[in-house]
Amino acid sequence: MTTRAALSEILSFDASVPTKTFVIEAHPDGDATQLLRDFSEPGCLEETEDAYLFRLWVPDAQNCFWVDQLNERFWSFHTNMPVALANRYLKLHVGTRRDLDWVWLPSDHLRTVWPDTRTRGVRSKFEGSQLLGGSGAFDDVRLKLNGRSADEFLDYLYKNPHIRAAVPFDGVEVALDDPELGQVNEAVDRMGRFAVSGNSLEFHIQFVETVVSRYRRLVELCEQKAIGWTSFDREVAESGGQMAGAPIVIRFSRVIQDIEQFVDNLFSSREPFRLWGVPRMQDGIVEVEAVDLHVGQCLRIDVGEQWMRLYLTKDSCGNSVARLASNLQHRFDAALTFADDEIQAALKGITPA
Amino acid sequence: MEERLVPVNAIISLVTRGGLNRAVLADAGFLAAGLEIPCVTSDGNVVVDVVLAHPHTCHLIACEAKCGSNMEVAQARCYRALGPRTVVRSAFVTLRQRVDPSLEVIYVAMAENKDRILLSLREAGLRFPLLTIHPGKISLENIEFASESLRDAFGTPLTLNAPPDRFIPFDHESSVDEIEPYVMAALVAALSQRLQMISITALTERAAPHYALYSHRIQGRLRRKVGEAVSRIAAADSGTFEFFPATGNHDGHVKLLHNPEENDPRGRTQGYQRLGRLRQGRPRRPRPEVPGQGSLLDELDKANSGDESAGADEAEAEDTQ
Repeated sequence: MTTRAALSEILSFDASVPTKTFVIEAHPDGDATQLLRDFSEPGCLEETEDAYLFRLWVPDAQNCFWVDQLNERFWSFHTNMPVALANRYLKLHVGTRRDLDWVWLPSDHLRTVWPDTRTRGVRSKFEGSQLLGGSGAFDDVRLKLNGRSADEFLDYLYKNPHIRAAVPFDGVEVALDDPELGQVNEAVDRMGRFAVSGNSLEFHIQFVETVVSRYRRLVELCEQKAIGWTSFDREVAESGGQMAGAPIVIRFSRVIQDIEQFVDNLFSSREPFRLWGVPRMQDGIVEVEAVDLHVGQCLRIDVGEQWMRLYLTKDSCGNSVARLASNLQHRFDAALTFADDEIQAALKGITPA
Repeated sequence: MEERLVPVNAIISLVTRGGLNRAVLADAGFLAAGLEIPCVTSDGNVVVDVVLAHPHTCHLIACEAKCGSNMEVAQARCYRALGPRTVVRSAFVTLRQRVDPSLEVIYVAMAENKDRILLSLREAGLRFPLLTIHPGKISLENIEFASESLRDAFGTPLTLNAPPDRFIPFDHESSVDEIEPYVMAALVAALSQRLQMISITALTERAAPHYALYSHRIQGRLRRKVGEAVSRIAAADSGTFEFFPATGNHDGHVKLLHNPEENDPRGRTQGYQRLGRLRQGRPRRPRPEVPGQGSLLDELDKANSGDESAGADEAEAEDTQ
């Protein structure tokens, strides 16, 4: 039986075989262990001495994940196995289940991933050809910069209003050094995949938890704003009830030049959005009763030439909004904002004082 | 959104912050205390569409959202007879200050119905202000009958940056044509969740989250319309959906016969796209061919790199229409 403390011996912190951590958002509906059992193949899940820690074997491979459920909603899957193999296994499960999802980090969460830290590399990836339809100054951007000032160059581009919409942060690598915690090199991409080398598992776990808690705040704020309807007690009132919440509005820094093409592509059920819907246009505004196929929930959406209105309903997952915003940053407008001040602050990764 | 539902949605938008339009009544301190509130008056019963309340001044606004140009005189007289205490009790409003509650009634209507409703109010001797929704603004008419807080909020017309929010996109009086897209989306969501069957009541609750507001009688009307919509959808796609209407005391239901989730990822996407195409009034636009897409530089990159397809994003299925 393994303990949590033993993980630092088991996981490799060698730069040649870095530890990978994948963060998955889970909706266990009460029993997280049971969801993990449902998810794993027979005989592939082992308990440890820690009630929140499991060993999950990948079938037909001599590799495993160490699954940490201490954060009940955002589980960490630590592994030494090659990233492609680990990703393939998790993608298969996340893609076919409605109670699991990736995390979808906004650009600014990566841009300011850790305060006062030395950057080793940054990556920007923008694939705008489908939603921009050739109308953008830059339809497709792939930048990978290494070196201690890598982020400065991307920041320089970001400050140019002509370029800003096409240079989202897609991944970042930083070197962390703390006299008490140790030294680690951390890389993280926008889908919550981490790679680490160095000498401190505790530091790595704290880094992951910091990134996750910033993201969690965004997701939970969206859920707090979700629209809910409550009926009065029918014993005392024949009809009536109350409404709470509000639509969540995204403002774009650029105009949608061809709104028909934009919505046809957005609601085509394809990756990465996986939104099903039949758009209806009236006076230049598109109304869609969409379905978020990642989670199997209806999501009413309105689209105007420079905005989008999302009607998240109570008990829906705020990840739907975070995912859409992150994917729009990488496919249409890296400089989008939320109209709601609190959600916008959370998108920027600003923690309230 | 159906035009007749714009007034009720507009009044809710006016107390809902964080949107595209200024929530002037929320800024004035009002909140939505209740919707579809049945009230008893000396002139008869009336169901108030929206009750707004100001928690500090204890001022209430009973809003009647007019779907068309007809003002029902009997209903308007009930509104005139409405007392603030009745509204407080009926909408279960919490009064946070020990202040005498006050009440005003406002009508809300589309601009094209303004003159007729103003005339009807005048002829009936009713002194209600009227909020009028124009294509790009909301203005207050009969302003002399309005409370000070309402006059302050609409001293100048409110400019609309976008149409009002769609909180209630359809109701029991909507046509089946209007309701069908919402029912279809709820069915697609059920497919995505791999359900094999769903009752008409559950489907109605998913298609219309505001269903909870209505009386049993109106809920029944809404369920019947949802059933009609399902019947049409199943007739158009009998390979995917089979409709079983309500019998006796048994709720109707839909069987989901063929599920895109049973396919591999590419087939799954195509399966959902097919369900969309069946509802689409116009053909979807083909994916744009962008000059430079699939550039020759990418081709040269393959000389030095391994398999780049192991990246984050899944291979996208092609729309085969």
